[in-house]
Amino acid sequence: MSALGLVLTPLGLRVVGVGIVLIVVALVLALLHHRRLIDTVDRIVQLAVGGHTQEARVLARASGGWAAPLVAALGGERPEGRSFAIGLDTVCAGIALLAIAQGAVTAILMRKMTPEAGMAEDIGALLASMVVVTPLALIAVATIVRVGSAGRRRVRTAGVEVIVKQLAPAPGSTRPRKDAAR
Amino acid sequence: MSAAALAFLVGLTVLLAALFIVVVLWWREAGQLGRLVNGATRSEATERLRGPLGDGAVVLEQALTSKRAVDESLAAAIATVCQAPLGAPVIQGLAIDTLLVIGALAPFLAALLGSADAIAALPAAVETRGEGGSSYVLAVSAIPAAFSGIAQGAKLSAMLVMIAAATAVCRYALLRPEAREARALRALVHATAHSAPEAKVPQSAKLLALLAPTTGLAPGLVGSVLFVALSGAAVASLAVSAPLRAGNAVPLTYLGWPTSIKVESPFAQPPISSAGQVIQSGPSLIFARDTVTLHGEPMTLLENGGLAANWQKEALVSPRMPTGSRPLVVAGEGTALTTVVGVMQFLAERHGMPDYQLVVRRAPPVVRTSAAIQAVLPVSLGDAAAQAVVLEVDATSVKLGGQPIDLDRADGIRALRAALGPGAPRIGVQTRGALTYGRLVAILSRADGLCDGGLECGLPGRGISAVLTHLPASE
Repeated sequence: MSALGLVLTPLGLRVVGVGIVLIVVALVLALLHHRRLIDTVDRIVQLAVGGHTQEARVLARASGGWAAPLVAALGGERPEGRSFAIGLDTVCAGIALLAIAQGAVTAILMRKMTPEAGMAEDIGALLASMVVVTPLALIAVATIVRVGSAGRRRVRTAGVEVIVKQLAPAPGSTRPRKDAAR
Repeated sequence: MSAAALAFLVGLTVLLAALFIVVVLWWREAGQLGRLVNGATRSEATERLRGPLGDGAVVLEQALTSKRAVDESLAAAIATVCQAPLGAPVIQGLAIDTLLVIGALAPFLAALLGSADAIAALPAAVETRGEGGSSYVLAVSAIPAAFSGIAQGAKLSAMLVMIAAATAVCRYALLRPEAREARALRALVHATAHSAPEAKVPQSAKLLALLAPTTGLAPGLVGSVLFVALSGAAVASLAVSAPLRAGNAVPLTYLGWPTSIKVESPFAQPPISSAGQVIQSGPSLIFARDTVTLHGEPMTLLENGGLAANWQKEALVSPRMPTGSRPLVVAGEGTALTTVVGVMQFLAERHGMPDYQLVVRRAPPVVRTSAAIQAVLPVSLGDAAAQAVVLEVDATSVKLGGQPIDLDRADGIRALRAALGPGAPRIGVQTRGALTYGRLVAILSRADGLCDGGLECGLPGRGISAVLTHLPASE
């Protein structure tokens, strides 16, 4: 049986399946959080630019720690430069990395359930499954980090928008040629 | 070249190319921003700058050329730069991350695939082994070899991960959005100061005070400390688990080697051997310097390591000693063979014990516990010449079928094994002259052993039993 064919054995399918489920859960959590963050930021900026600064400030305060730069910008202060809200990114990355660790656990549980199955085939299936799961998990972690950074950058640029609006609108267009905010 | 090594070269190329691209992108952008400051090259730099940085430069260029609305234009340029994402699009970023991860892990993944192939093919290889081959021997040799590739792949990938980490650090230091933003703002401000030094820019100054990004290295330092801490934790966990891994490095054969039956004597140490079978229970026959004990009770005294005259008349053998038992012989290497064989012959003739187990010590490279591992070389007293294969042993030579043979050389071992054939045969051993017990054990170990060169490999012997005839030197 070829190495990739080992992935299609019961143990291989289970290891890959559980791993992919964990990776998908981590990515979905990260993307949902990012989507919610973007929507909230857009709403805050819309309120602030539209003259509803008070409402924008209330919404920013209620949104959580990640909106601290926006709260500062709405108050006319310099936004802090440090990174906010990396906790959820860390949790999502941890869930994605669990996809790698679960391989051995799944293999042990499968061996307990079906001890009569061939040990050599099971070990081969575990190794071959790790070839599939490991890079997917690490790519997912990199994607989660990148999405989190993009979210934090959006929060900063939203703060810039608010500050620019508060100080003075720039002459002509502040968004030459193409929309640079997203 | 192995698949892991080839994958290493490909991964190295990819990662070094990524590092090169990061440096080139920074160098190009920094160069163009530098030219933005100089009035003579500002227009060209403005045209070459792409994306939001170029947009900001265009806005400022017009004001600096016409020397009008400099403050408003600079503020607009600052706002444009600060509101730009300045990061790679998600899809492009995903492609870059995929390339870097696959590049760094390629040797490890190739090694995993190779090991999976080798292990999964093992049952079929064992079933199709040749006549007389041992599936056990094949398995215990093939399994560690299959996993050794993973170690090699992991080492190669570890080197690539370091290069990937260096690339990520360079990218963080040179191309992260805050760094690009700060570089661009600095260029815009310097361009304004250079081209319109008399211009007053209160609006821009206020904007800069609020918007200038933090480019401190604190996050990078925290990340570096975390990386070092996690790497140290990984090394520490490897160090803590070293005894477990050393225990797992014990040759597979020793995992099942029974240690319940052992013969230990403070007066005699069995010779070391890399052959032998599992000990079967039996009374101990121990040759100390001055006495011979049987089943824990003194049997006869020795004089200068040899048997006294008419010792048989005074030898003590317990009447409760069962006939047909197979005593476990424990003697030092230097014990005279005539002494050992003399006692064995006495017990064979008078007490019906023709079969013996010569106890030897196995010395595996690592053992799970401090318990010593012993094995036995089965020997029976009888007519050695009646066996199909006969070894004639004296103090200086060993002969097989009348021809001298050197059992310390591989060709000698091969010749003996070819004569014996597969299975667990009996071999006749005719010893002659003043030999030591250690020489007999060494000859039998060579005949029985499966380890190459007589070195300890953890494998049990082939299962040869010897029929021993000891002839005095005069015969």
